[in-house]
Amino acid sequence: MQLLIIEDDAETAAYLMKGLQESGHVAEHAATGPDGLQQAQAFGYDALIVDRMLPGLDGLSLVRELRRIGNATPVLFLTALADVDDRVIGLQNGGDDYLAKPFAFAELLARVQVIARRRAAPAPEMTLRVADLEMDRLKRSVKRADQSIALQAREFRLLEYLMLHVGQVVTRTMLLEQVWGYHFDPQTNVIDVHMSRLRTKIDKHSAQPLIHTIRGAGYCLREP
Amino acid sequence: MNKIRLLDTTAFRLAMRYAGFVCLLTIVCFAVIYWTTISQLQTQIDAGLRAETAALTRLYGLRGISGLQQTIAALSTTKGLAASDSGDAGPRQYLLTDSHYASLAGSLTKWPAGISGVGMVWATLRIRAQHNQPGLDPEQHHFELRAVAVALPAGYHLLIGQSLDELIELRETILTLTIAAVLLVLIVGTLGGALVGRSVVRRLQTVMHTADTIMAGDLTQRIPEEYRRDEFDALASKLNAMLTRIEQLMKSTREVTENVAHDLRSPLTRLRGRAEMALMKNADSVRQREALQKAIEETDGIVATLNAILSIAQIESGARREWTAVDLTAVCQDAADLYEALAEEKDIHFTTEISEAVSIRGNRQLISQAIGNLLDNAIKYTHQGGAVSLTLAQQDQGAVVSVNDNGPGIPAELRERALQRFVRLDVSRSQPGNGLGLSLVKAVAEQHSAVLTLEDNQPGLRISLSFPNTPV
Repeated sequence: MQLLIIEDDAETAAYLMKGLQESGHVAEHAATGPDGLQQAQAFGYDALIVDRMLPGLDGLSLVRELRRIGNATPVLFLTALADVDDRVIGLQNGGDDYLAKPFAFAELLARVQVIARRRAAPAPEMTLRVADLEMDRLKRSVKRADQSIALQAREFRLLEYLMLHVGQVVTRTMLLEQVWGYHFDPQTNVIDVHMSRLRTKIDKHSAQPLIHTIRGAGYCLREP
Repeated sequence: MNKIRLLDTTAFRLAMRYAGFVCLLTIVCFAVIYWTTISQLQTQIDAGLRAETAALTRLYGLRGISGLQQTIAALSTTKGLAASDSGDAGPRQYLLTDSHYASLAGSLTKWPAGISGVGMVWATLRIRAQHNQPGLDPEQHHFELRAVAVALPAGYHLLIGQSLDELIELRETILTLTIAAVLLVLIVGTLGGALVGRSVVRRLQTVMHTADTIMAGDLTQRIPEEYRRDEFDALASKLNAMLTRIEQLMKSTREVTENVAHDLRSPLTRLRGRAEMALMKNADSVRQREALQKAIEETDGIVATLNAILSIAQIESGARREWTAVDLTAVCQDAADLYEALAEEKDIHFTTEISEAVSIRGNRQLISQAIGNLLDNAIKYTHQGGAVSLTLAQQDQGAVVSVNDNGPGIPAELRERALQRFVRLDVSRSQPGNGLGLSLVKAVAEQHSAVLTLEDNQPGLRISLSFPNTPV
């Protein structure tokens, strides 16, 4: 992926650049709001990582301006403001996702990949297939190797989210936000318990597991 | 402390302005009374004189000059002839002269100058008093006389006068009364203004005194209310409510600062230790990696604690009061759904009893988080194979959410302490946590005017959140 980091803190920017390059992405950096806006307009990036507080032009205004001129590049906001209201404001102003500093690099990478692919992906099918796992989203039924699997409503939504993001790493926070709609830290890692239950149902009778734990990041559902 | 000068108070100025207005009104009133009374009296005097003149003229016609002469001589020592008719009791003066204005009879000695003897002439005379004149106060040097002169047939002249003493006396009485009334109004107005001003100043001074104490640093001071249900009490109670809120915010800010300083010290020390371990000469790359991994975990813990502190402070400050209708039934079901898995893993029997269609006004995220924290705690502190339940009931007073467990519970004397920040009753710290879970629940409860109660579940703990009935 080609990414642009608009961030005034040189150290954070260097750390992001290094991490993204190591993960096989091409990353560029702009240190001020106006530079970032110009670069974002000039090249077709797959996603932008934008700090909220920037010299010259703040992140919110930058993204508003991009959206105004019809540039739909996905945007992940970075911010030191970890308020729920700030998150909402970021999303209202054309951001696609929001991450509070300090963050784990794995969390950032997972989120950037999700928003970058969201724009590119065609409208999701009513039937999702990953290897021999099949989900009918209309009938709300799941089969693995033609064996029907009974899932509870929440387990179904969890699996659905994983299948929609097949091959991508999804973090625990992303699952908590997307599947449960909770924007807070539930202290204990309840997500792990739910994932292990889902795993038991999906992978128990198969030699080839589909759900993988990515250490220090989260989970990934992928073809064997 | 700023002293308020009595004469500068609004109350006093208003009272003075009002007194001035009343004075003006009093003067106008008395002036009207004065003019009407005086003119009425003058009309009466003139009518009396006219009647007397007519009577004496008739007498002259009947009995001639000698008869008139006799009558006037007699009258000069007593009252007027027609006095009883006019109802006027003032002493009268008479003078009957011949055609050369030489006196023939009467109490006046000399025909006054300037009055001609033709027809009927009216005049107000000022006459020097003579000591021997009857009916006149000998002490007075001058007196005023309302007089009428008529020319009688055959050249005689008759002058009848009525003393204006009574009129003058009345005039003076009215003037005195006016002055007295004005003075009275001024005195009462000034005194009243001063009294009202003083009471206002006194009550304001208690407010200012409180403000001074608070500015000096004592935020617990409150303005004394006098329970008169007047505007001052209304103001005092509003100011007191504001002060309570400010005190709360100050307290919360101070606590946050203190807690951050105090409670981040130990994780930061550990973090520093891990970094140093990674740098040690004899550390191989595996141990270095391990130390760095631990350092990251420690950092995450610090961030989580910071977020929790800020989140509680934010909730307490009321910054997250974006209230909407919250489907409490759904919130409870979602929370149960999330934590049920956790309970099952620990082999805890988890049950729910959630009433249908219970809604309140509030912040869904906050309420979810509070219920989540309660369930998390209950599951964390209940032994394996225990029981935890979540109930939601719509009672008369409002919706009640309770989380019950049969774990170790909290002794009654420690329940209040359990709600304080960073307090962990589990001294061994065998469970992960930052001691902020229940503080957050308490803050959420307070923002929603809900009552948070900790009870003995016999055995175990029962924590209830009782929301007030609010229109959704």
